[in-house]
Amino acid sequence: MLEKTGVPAASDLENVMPSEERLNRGPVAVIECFQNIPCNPCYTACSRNAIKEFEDINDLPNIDHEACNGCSLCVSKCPGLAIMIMDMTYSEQEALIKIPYEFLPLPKENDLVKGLDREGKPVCEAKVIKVMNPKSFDKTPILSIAVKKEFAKIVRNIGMGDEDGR
Amino acid sequence: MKPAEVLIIGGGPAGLCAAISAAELGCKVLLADRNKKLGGQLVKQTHMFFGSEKQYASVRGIDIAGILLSKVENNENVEILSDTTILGIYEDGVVTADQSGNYFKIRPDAIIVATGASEKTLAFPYNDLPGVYGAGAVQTLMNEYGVKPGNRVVMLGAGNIGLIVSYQLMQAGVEVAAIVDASPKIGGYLVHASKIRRMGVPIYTGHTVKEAHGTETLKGVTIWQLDDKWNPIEGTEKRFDVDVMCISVGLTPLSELLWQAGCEMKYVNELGGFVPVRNEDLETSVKGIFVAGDVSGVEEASSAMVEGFLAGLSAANYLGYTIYNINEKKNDLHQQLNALRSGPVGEKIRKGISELIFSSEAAVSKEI
Amino acid sequence: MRIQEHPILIFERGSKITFTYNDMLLEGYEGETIAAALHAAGVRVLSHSHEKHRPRGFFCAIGNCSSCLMEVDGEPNVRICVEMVKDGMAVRTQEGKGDIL
Repeated sequence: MLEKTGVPAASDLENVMPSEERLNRGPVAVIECFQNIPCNPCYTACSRNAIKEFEDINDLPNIDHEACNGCSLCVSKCPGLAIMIMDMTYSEQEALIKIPYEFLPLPKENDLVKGLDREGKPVCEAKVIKVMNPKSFDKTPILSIAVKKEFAKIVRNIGMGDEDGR
Repeated sequence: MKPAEVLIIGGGPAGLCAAISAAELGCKVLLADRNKKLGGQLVKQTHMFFGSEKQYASVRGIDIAGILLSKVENNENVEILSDTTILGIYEDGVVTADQSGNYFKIRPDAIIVATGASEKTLAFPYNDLPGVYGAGAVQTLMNEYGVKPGNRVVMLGAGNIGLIVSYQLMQAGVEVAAIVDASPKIGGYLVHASKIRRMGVPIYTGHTVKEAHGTETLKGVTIWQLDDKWNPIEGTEKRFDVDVMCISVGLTPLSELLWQAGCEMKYVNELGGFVPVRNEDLETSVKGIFVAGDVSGVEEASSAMVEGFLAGLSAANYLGYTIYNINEKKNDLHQQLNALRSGPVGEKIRKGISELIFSSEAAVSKEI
Repeated sequence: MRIQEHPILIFERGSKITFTYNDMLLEGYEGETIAAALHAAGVRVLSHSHEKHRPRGFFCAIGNCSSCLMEVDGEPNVRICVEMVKDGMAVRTQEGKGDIL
């Protein structure tokens, strides 16, 4: 599925999702890296040693979700933009997700945008909570967006502008 | 005639790294590039590189170009000849060159050929219409000169270049209607594919172009599905009204100078075409001629850089220059190359290179 | 067709210059190729093939394929994808193979 369409299957995602118990304890990184490619900046970016050293650079990232505090340092360092932060404790109804976004215009805080799934289809409303774009992120800004909890595992991008959300 | 210790032909990732490492051993380097600005295709790569810190992982290609260039430009052992096309390598070891219209000769003691590769094209009806461009050409137009190639694009080829350029097109504000690849699977890194998919762009694997439309310029593209024997299926046609179609079906080494120099060449499909036979330290069958980067086999720019460092060391060492830890350095570079190529995505490269290597002990036939 | 804003790149264009394309006055910027300037001005057809007179545009844009040959200041067969545009330059569509002498 993934190698035919570029969209990870539900089973792929299950393999990289933190446990429900961990998700309910606060922000944590979710690494959607499913292919053995020679790449390890997520490990070098992680200051808590939650992402383990690669024995072989072609290994998949090995993250200890217990050690990860969702600091988001790895998000803008991943060349594949494959990492997001998920925080299910944001509010009673909503989860906060942090995603890399390398397009213009950047949304502004409090903007209402569309939450897009992994195929780019609009699935829900999303509210932009924060736009982080410091120099250290090197032009890969990170957006914090709030979505209804049931969409936290579905939304992976935002759409601004025209009707289809793109 | 201009004397030179090492002449490096091509100032892309491989050539720049070769210059840095040869110069580090004290060797005088002449670095020739046909463009006014060095950096090769790195200067158009807006995405972050993969690999490890040693290959500048997580740094954007354009910034890697800047890092490498500053190391070369501030190096008293390196003389840069920009706007200089190397025309030929002759039997007596003389190299001819043209710098901004002035013809001259160079007599180098060793040569590193790092000329890179050129884009392949694909045969289909009306593939000659203006608007049907190489994906790299579109990258040059938009990332180097800030000019949009058009309004709406179909990308042919879901390898890394096709995927990366599609993403860059969207960053430049151009709509990507679809990515099409005849292969049943996406050839490029799946993380690249996923980031394009979540922008809403479809990837049609197992599809190819039926024909392009238009009379003076491109107006549309019709694709159709392929069965498992790669035959097109009637009735599966889809038409896209686009003014640009990018062709990204692979690269082929720019190996003319190696042929002319009499290097033993071999056709290796996995490496993009005819490539030079060489030893582990990248010396070709002609003594004193070394290769690095895509001209020695098409692969990622990360490997091209490592090969450049290795070829630079080898060429300088061939001329008698050395450094106390030369073996350590060589081993480290070999290990980096092995690591970059060791995974499943490196399988093709490993297979291709295994057909090319001769042992350094074996007969190195000719001398330059 | 010029990119004004880009999430990663900043385009530092040179000074504005004018040149002619088949006697038509066009604008470009110093430091860019003739091909880039023409494309930005909407010119995509650069010549026609010798036998079947099919329209020709560029393909590689880095000087490899020779699909972009034009006559520049009277000189035929110039690869305009690697030739920089200059103020006052006369760029013409080339008919035939071009007389060198």
